Amino acid sequence: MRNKKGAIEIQFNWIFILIVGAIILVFFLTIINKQKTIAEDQISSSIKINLGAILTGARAATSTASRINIPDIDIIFDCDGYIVGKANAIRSKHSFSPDLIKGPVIISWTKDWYMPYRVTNFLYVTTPFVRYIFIKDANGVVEEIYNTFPNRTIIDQGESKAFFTKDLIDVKEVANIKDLNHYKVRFIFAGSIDPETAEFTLPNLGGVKRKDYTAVKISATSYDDLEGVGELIFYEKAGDYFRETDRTVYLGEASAFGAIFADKAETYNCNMQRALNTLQIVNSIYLDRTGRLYDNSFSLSDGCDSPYLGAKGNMQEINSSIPWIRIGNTPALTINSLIYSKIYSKASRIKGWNEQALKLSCPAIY
Amino acid sequence: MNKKAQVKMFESIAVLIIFFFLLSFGFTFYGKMQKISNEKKIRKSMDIDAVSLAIKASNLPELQCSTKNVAEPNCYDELKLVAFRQMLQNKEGNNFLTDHYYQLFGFSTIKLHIIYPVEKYEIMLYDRPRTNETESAGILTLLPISIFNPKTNMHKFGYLNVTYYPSQ
Repeated sequence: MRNKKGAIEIQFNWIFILIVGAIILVFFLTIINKQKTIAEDQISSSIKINLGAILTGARAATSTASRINIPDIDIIFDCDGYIVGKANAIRSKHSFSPDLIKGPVIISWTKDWYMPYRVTNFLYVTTPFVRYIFIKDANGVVEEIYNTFPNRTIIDQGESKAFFTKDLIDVKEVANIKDLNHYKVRFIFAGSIDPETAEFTLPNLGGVKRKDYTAVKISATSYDDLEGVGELIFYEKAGDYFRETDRTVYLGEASAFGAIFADKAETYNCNMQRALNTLQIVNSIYLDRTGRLYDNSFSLSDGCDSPYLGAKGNMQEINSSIPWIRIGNTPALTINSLIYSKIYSKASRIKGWNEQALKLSCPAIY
Repeated sequence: MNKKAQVKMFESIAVLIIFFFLLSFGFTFYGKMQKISNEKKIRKSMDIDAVSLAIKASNLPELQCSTKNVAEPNCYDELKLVAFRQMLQNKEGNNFLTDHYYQLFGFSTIKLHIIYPVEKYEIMLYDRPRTNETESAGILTLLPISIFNPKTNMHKFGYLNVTYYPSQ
């Protein structure tokens, strides 16, 4: 009888330990899980805040490139902006980036967009882990673009560090490209080379997925063509060759450079639409300003009125070329070369009027 | 024997109660510390946002002075200022403009105070404070700025008063 009681008592103790142990285990697991989520959210929001500030700073400093250390985290880029973890997107207008930026280093570069006055700063964000391969063309356009882009390395606190990963090669050397462990590779073509029919076989670069193995062709046949309007063709690797995925248009050098960074035409167009919105606002302000300069021109030296009047007319035409656009989920304006050509032609005339105003010692239009 | 087992059981339960009591005490303390540290982080992020907003406001291409197309930092063109104000005053019904500047400045007010050489006056550039009174405390950033008039080729001096209203 005593033995039986003892056995029940021992069994009950074990059941008791099991239940209490399980409760304690569940309790700690819940806390660990919660802490993990909190820590991840904290990292995301801290990166979001710092990245937002960095991007604002980069935008304020024109034509500068910087190397920024960030935690080893993935940043997704789309039309809404930069998304880190579960935090809301960092809205950054007129930014051009690959769809995925992997830490722990990002590179930012800014370039002014002129039409012909400064409209805004285009911000390009990438990482040294994305490789840009510039393919030489007969007219030397790509070579000049290559030289304009930031350097391969940067001296930071006396130490040479990887900066913008770029290579300039001949089209015949494409097949010999070695895998250097980059997660994205982007080829840049220009002029008469057709990436779809060019006589090269694309090498297999180990870790680079098909969607990350992309190319862009800029239609310019001389570097000066980049100042105007031209076609951009986007490609993706299909087997041993490139296959065209999309076509769009650029307007000005900074815009053409944007297509080198944005690996999807959709994101590129979205940012260009935003840039057009900004152009409309800035143009409206210059239109009003030029009108005031014109009203005042009769008290200035002879002939000041004509450049202002001429520029005003062209500014009005720029405004009428761009309808007010609301950027929502479905963009209202399809970017086309007709709109761009009209804007560019008017912008060139405004540039001429400004030069004339300066020659006559009148206040500059811009 | 029954009594002995009962005592043993009470002992175990008492140990567990004390254990959980100490644990909850520890977590309450940790939670409070976390709350303080988070409040500091939130305050820091609000300050960063406020400074970012001031940088954005002072570098607006719509207002910035430029010489031969090179932007001048901390300088507004007076004629652009007039045009900008007029554009915003006429924006009624233009959702695009409202959205554009809301995306850029969010809930904030941006005022330009001109103090020299003329008599002090202020120009409201953007005004969208939070309507909820409990959330109306803003973070103020002041930035010196010069205002250039291309007609007279003269500079005025002032400061930009940027108030950022963060969500609480």
